[in-house]
Amino acid sequence: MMQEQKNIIDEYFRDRLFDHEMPAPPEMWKKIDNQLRQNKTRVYWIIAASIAASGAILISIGIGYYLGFNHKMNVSKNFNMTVNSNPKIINKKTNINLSSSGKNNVSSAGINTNKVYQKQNFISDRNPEKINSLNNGLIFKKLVASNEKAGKKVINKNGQQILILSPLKPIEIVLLNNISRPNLKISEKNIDALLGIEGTNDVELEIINKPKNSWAIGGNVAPLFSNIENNKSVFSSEYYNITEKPVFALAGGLNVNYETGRWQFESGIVYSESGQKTDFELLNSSLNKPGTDQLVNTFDYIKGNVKINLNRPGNVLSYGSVSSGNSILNMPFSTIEQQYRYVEIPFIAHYKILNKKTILSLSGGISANILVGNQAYLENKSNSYSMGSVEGTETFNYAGILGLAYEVPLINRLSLKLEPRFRYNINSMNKNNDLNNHPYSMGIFSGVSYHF
Amino acid sequence: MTDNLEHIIKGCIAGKSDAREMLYKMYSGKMWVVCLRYARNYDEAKDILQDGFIKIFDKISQFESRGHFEGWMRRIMINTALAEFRKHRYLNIDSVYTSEIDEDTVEHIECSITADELLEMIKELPPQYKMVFNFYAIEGYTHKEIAEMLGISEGTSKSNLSRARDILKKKVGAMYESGIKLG
Repeated sequence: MMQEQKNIIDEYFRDRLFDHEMPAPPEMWKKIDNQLRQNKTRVYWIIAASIAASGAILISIGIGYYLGFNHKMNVSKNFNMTVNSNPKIINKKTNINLSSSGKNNVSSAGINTNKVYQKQNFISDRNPEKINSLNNGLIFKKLVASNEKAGKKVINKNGQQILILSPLKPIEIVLLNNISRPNLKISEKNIDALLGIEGTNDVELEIINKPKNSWAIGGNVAPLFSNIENNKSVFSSEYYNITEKPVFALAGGLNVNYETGRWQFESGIVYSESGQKTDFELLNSSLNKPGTDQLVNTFDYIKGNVKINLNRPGNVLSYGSVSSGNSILNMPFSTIEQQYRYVEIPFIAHYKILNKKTILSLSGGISANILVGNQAYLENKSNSYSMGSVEGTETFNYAGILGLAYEVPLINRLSLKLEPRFRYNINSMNKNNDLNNHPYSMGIFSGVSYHF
Repeated sequence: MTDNLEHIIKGCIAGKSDAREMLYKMYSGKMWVVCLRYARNYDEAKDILQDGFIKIFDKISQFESRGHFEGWMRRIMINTALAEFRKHRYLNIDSVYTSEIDEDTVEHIECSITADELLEMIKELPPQYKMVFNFYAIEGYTHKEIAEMLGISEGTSKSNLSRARDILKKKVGAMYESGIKLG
């Protein structure tokens, strides 16, 4: 701020009035204090709701984490075995010698089983290379197990070391080396199957956790906390950022994901809303022609040259709460809410920082947004009135997306996904150059994915 | 910023009612004059004061201690007044006043007019003249900034300022002359 020229009348008034004080009306502090207390009560409710929501999310994450770490590998659906000899039906109390091959000496003590196993329980003659191509590299290893006592280590023909934790139920083995997940426990069922084949000298066990490269489709929804950031004009943007308030909105859509290793790429289609609310503001102009009660068709509103069409001025004039005159300005305690609706096509990359049964990913991407609707509403406590559409708004823009994605397996191929996301419009939504307006939103997307 | 003020601000950030009341008592006098200068009438000035202080207490945690606190408060109060002006904007500024005294006369009458009387003169200006004069002469904004805030051209801002000055000169001159006659 700099004075462009000095003037004696300006200085005269400024010198006497700039720091001049007068006692404010005595009742004012009580009014302000009362309003602050009311606002505080409202804030407490918002905080309580936020804490409840956060608690629910933390509990769900905790449950997912617990389940993820205690979940026995259920590989029955992805379990493949090749048998090199001719398996036969075996009977109760048959001693089984699975293998003693390999470079090292491996014990061949038998294990008693109480079950009858049949050849048809297993997939034989499967091409290992073909199976290998489906594997994601996490678990896939060939091994040849040997019937042994608990605590013994055996070596398979590939030189892989295997620890038998318990030959009895629950039977568990651990792959000790040369594998990306050395502490993986294989379920009782599979060990039973492995041990239950008579006369097998070499058994190749392949465990497939997930396909190496996989696809998934899903859907999600989110409540959004939406607002608009203003910048460029220093004074005005600060003013608008103070006076404008966020609104709650919704988003939801369908997505398709391609997964390879630790990376997952997502696209799809999303419907989203954004906007802001301004209290007591009919900025830049009134609805009236200067000095008259006659309504004008458009007027400047909030965002520089953004204008609202009064597409139904007759309704404005007959609005029930208007106490006097013909102006909508007489509607007391009103706010204006701007709502924009977009169809978005996102391109998001997820990088898995936790890649176990539960998956935690960092997300980042961009979305191309097409404006499919915009509306402005004049509202007070009991009424909402549609004022028309907002002109001067870009119909196409881009937004940057950042977030986290947390995925927990549910049943079969379904998984639950929770994704806190922040979305910020990269280019201004306003064609006007005086003030740049960037809608942004935050929300937690929740949804399901189906992997195939 | 004094330690006492810093302590009060921290109390306000913590939501302490007594700290807020102390801050209000410290600055309400100056802010009230700001409201009176911009408002169309007494009731509107009270609304601006109330809304302005609500915003101040709401945003006080955003105040950076390096800045001038009173200036920060004043700016919020002015912004609130500006919003109120835009809400009730009247552009019927047809009245044209002409100066009847020269600037030398103004220099000689300085001591005889009180600040309250000057405040009354500003309050009687047409709304947009009043906004432009307050922004330019009292607050020190440029015509470019004023044009942006009010959504008018720089030329209109200059023209409004010139007319506001003419009106004020006339009022000052009239008061001076009546003072001489009474004297």
